[in-house]
Amino acid sequence: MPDTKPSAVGTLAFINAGPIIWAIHLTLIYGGHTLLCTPLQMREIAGPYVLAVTAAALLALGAFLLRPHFWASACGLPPTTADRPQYDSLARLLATLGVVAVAWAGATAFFLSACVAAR
Amino acid sequence: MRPRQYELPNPGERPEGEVRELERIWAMPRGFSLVTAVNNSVIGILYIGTAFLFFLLAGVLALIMRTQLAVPGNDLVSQDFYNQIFTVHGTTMMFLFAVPAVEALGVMLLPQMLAARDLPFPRLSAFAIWAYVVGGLVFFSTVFYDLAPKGGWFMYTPLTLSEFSPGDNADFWLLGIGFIEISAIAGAIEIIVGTLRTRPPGMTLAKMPIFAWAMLIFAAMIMVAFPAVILGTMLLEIERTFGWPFFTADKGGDPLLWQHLFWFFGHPEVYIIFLPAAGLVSMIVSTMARRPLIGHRLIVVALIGTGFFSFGLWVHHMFTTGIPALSLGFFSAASMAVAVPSGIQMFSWIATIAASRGRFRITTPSLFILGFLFIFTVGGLTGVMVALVPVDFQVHDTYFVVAHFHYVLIGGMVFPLFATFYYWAPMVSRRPLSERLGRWVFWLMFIGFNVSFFPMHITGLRGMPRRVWTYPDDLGWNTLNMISTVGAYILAAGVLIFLIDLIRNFRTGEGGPDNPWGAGTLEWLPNDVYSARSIPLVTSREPLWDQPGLPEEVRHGHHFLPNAPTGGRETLVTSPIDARPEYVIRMPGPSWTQVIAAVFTAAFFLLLTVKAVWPALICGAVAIAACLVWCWSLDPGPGKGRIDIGAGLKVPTYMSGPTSHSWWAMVVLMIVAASLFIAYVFSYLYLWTVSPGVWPPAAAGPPDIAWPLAGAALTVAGLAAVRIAGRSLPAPGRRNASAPVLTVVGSLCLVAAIGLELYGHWQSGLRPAENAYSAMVYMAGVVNGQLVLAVFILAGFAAARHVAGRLDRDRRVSFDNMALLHYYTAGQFLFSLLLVHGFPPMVN
Repeated sequence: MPDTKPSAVGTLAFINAGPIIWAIHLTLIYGGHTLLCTPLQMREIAGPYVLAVTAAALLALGAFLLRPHFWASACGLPPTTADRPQYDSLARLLATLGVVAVAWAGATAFFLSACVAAR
Repeated sequence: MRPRQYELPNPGERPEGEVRELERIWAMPRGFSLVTAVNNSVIGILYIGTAFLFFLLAGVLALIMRTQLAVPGNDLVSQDFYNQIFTVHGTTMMFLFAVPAVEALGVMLLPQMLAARDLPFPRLSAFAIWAYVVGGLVFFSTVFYDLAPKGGWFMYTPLTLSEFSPGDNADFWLLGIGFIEISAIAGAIEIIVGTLRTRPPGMTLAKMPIFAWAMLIFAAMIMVAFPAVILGTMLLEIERTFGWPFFTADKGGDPLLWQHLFWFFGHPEVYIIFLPAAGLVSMIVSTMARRPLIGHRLIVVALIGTGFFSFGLWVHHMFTTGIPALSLGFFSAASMAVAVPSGIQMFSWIATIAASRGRFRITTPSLFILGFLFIFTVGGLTGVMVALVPVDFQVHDTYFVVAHFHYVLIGGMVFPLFATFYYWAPMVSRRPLSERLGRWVFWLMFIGFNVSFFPMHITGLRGMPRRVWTYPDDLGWNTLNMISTVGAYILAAGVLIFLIDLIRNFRTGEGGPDNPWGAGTLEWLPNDVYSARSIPLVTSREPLWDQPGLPEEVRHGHHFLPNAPTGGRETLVTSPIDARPEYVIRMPGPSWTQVIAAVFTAAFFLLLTVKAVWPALICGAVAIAACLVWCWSLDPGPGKGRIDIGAGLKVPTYMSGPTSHSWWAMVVLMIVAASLFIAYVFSYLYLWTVSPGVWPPAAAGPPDIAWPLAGAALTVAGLAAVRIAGRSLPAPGRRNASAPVLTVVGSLCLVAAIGLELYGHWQSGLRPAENAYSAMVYMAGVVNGQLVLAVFILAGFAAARHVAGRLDRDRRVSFDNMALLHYYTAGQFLFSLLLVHGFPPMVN
């Protein structure tokens, strides 16, 4: 067995990075859209805000997908364990799923006006 | 046979008498004392048996409903009783059957699947189960006394406010279900720590069985989802009892807040039920196809992805409530996106069956799996339909939705559960269930289900609303309803034959075949009352397939911990990611304490429901006392030293600090508390967006800044006291006065801080029943106060252990647990001070 002990929190955070970014994205677009529409009354920037947050989330996911080894090291995963390729693969697949979900939710801002009722 | 690829941890012959010693230590109590048992095999069967009883009872209510709806204008039951039975049917199926059933399977299967002697907190499991048994039976019995709730399983406000639902009926739901959710959280803590810390050596996260992955994600979801509805039930019960207007619109509240809190729990709940079932399906498909799953990694991705995405769907239950279109779009997209991971799993299962090239065995479990694939796919497709906002506008609250969610829930959970009954029965029963009767059960259930629920799609599209007691005969719904009723009886006939099969063949005890299906996972190792004789070194995902001599090696004690070196119940704790042996847990055995604690906790909640406050408080005190007695025997200390478990490894028999399982359990509990607090912060901000005019009301000025500053100063002083107490714990065998005094003083500082905060608001003229703002301000005190009470009790407990010579700088788990919760509570309280005192001036 390897000598370097992987960090439990770090490994779980690395594997789940994609869905975590998705969750932050959904919280920010739903919460931000609601705040801009109702209490803050800044309706004109609600749509661009959603697109900006979506772009930022996609950039974060892209950065993760392009440099997974950097993020793995940052999360305390040892580079040489037998299971490391599997964790890398899980993380990449989940981040890809995150890209799909973020883009799907964010794309709604292209098709729907902000702050208007559906019917 | 392939040569072994690993060294045996204990290659030599084992001494005589080791097995008899294990049998003695793990022996189950007999006779009436059986209720004190904590062995997972006993309480797991009690758990699943009770859940199945609730399935039958709720099924009887469903048959009454279907009989009532068979013909138009029927008056078999009254409208009021119909309201009660559809509420109790849904509530029972969701809270008393589905979640407990899958938790029961976790308790029953996980230790064997992980080759652990038991999960790490056996008394906690037993407490959760007895609390559920007592609380559940009392809740269900309300239907016999005209006391059952009538607001639907989701108890929407304002219908459930006291003006529109007088009497105690709704309170039975709020307190009864809130209490049962606490039981579910207790089970989730056990499952998370058990899955991450009691795997056998070599079973890294990547080699963990799919069912264990599913249960880990299931328990993590409970941790985040359930606190939202617990907060919701607290708010609603407080409004009903004390008039704090969280949901009353003319005082700044909003009925939709309840829907947000309920569905933030309610939608993940569907996946909380489905994911373990999907885990079971993966296990059974692989065994029946006699090959590893195709796309094992993709299935793990799908389970994790589904778990996360399920928290982004709750608003799709609220599409018709007037939320802006763009926000609906976010949740519509997420609702469709969740179909992607679900589809991944479906294709993996189908690919595994196809890749078996005709070797897939058609057995009763396989039939239920194939039935599941068909029914769940139909439910998934209609799920994508109702995720489309315009379609949802049309079919919302119609029988189309009833058809959809029954296809998802019965297909996604009940069919896999029946597959599980037939598949895993040989593990706990001397005889397997009957294949012949099983096929009758399957076909009757499959045909009955589709005959009953498929027509409901059309009934719904023709406009029949949900929850109606009866209907006129000229709307074109008559034939469809009659067909649905006939189908329901056919489905019930299948369940009845299953009961007959159970009565004829299910006999608990030893003597069944070891691995009748030729499965590859560890639950099929030779088992006894102590689980596996020795804890195996695992080298692959399907060890029984890839390590062919493993069952005999384990049976003869050639793997880890083949004996009981501490002379008591114990199991091996391994590291969470790479499963390296770390230490041996010494676990408690049978006791009355957890049973008494559970019964009196149930009594506390139920007596509160009928407003018998003093008897309730007495029962609550007895429950707390029982918990303290139960915990007194834990934390045994490092007296047993290090023990040899095999492979030249000597591991400690005691652990404190971040490596210990109790530390992990406390961290999980803190995450639950944080989830509840986040739900509170959401509620606070949500009500502000709805009613900024009362934030804060003009009549009451803010309290003097001195009050929150004094509260913060006391909190910091309490933190310092606990920190110093931790450093001044004496050496083993010695005592001092400073550590226990500082421990108690630290907790008293927190109590005083909360008291000052509430008094400051009170003296400024703010009253909680005045409006939504004031209610939320005082609610912060309630949310923080419950944690402060827990810290206070734990501090007293730690001080008492110190005085009794059971706490020192080595034997310190009781102190560490208290200190962790103290630090968290202090942080939460300081944040709430910032929110309550900082936010209103900021927005005004």
